[in-house]
Amino acid sequence: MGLSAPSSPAKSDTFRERDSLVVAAAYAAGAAVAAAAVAIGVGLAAYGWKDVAWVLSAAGSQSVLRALGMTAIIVITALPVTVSVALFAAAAANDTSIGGITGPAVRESIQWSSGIPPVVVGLAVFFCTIVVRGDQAVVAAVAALVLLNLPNAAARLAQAFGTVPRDAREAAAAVGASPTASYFALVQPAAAWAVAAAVFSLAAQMVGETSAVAVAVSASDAPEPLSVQIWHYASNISMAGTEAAACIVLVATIAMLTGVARACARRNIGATR
Amino acid sequence: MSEGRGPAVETKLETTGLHVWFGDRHALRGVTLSLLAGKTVAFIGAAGSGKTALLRSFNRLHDLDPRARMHGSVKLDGAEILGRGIDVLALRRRVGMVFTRPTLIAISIFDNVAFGLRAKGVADRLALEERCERALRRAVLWETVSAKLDRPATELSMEQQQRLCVARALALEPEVMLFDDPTAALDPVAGLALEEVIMPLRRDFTVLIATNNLEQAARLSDTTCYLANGEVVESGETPLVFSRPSDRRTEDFLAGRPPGQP
Repeated sequence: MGLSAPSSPAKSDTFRERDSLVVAAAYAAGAAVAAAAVAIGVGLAAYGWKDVAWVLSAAGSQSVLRALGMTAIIVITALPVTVSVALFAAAAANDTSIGGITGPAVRESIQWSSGIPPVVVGLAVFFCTIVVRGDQAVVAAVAALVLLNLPNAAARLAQAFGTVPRDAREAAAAVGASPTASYFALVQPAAAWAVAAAVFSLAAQMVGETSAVAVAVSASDAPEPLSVQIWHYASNISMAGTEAAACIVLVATIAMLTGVARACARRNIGATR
Repeated sequence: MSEGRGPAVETKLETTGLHVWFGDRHALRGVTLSLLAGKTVAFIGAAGSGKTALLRSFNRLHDLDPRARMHGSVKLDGAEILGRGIDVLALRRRVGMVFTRPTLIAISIFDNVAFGLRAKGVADRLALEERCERALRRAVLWETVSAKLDRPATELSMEQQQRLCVARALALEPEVMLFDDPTAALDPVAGLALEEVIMPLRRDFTVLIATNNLEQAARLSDTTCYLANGEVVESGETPLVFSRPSDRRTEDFLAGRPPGQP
């Protein structure tokens, strides 16, 4: 019996056609994302480019520098709290020998709580400030950011720790290192760049976070963080230019943090190779 | 495997009806063994026969795998090491292990060797240096690395990295050394060089080595144990097992024949 051709000529290009469709769809999607980014950039630049220098030097309630300062205070306070708690949650979620029976619960809660809308978190913090009769805008904003970002931060850090090979953990265990000791002596240093990437990425997200913080600080007259200030004045069409300029400053700040996060992530890939 | 030995030789490790499961997979099926102190035992068998599962039972490394379950008895110097209430970390310091691939757990050469000692609580720099040097000398690596202990361990060759792993285990001065196919990731020349490191350790430790290299098993071991499908098929003095295996399955394996074929 002779060998036959693996497929008939009519069907020979099936995979190539399908691959072409997938590639075309990928190009189209990529082009759409790039077009959206360009459209946002052009829109902001057209309205606000001329006013960037002005908003950076303006004083008063619309001072962008003052709002950026408030953003920095809130983020710099919220970030260490979030990262510290998330480090332990990630450890519990990532390593059954540390988390024990709490590990699955932590993993589940990370999944579920990441779906809570930011405005709900902000409202919960707002209710708490009413109950304690507080007028601490910074504390409320920090609380909102910590609560909102904890699941996300824990998930990112757990993912970062997952980049450390299991072999290394086994080798550490084989010389009598306890799970916690090997976690802090081995996993965290090995994942240091991945952790740094997660922290900067989280900072970028916190800088841009609006609704939860806006709701949480709504009982206060204190200066607003930049994202909230933009949201506050956005409906005033006569201020479109200055709002667009403030948006450019906000996006540039976030882009800078994201760029640092990307650089750290690339360094981590290089270190784990 | 204690038959035919003088009464002065003590049993170091003993398993009775040892079963290991990984999820639904039954990796060890009622293994009963008695391993003598100061002897070198080679575990041979096809891939998946249970060699690694057996080795990892002696230092309770299965505890790290949430899918793993163990049942039966494992005794070290007559004391049970399975079950709750055992100081597993102390056990692992007494039973050192070298893995198939060299696994670096710290950046520098020195920190790799000192890792276990630091985990044990040794903080004195002089004590650390003294014990690391001794371990590196025993692993025949001191001459190579003494001038660059702070350099990254990744700069070492694969064989040197594996020697570093041997030194890391030796630094804790264990009583038993487990080698899980330690030359599998090395080329033949590097493999033989590593055997030269293992050879003198046989004088001072109880050495258990799982290997797919039959010649290595013949060269290194006093006793050979053949496993198939998670069961001990045959065990005895190495020259006897290799020259006159008592079980047909062992004979087939040593001859490279599929089981049951003439």
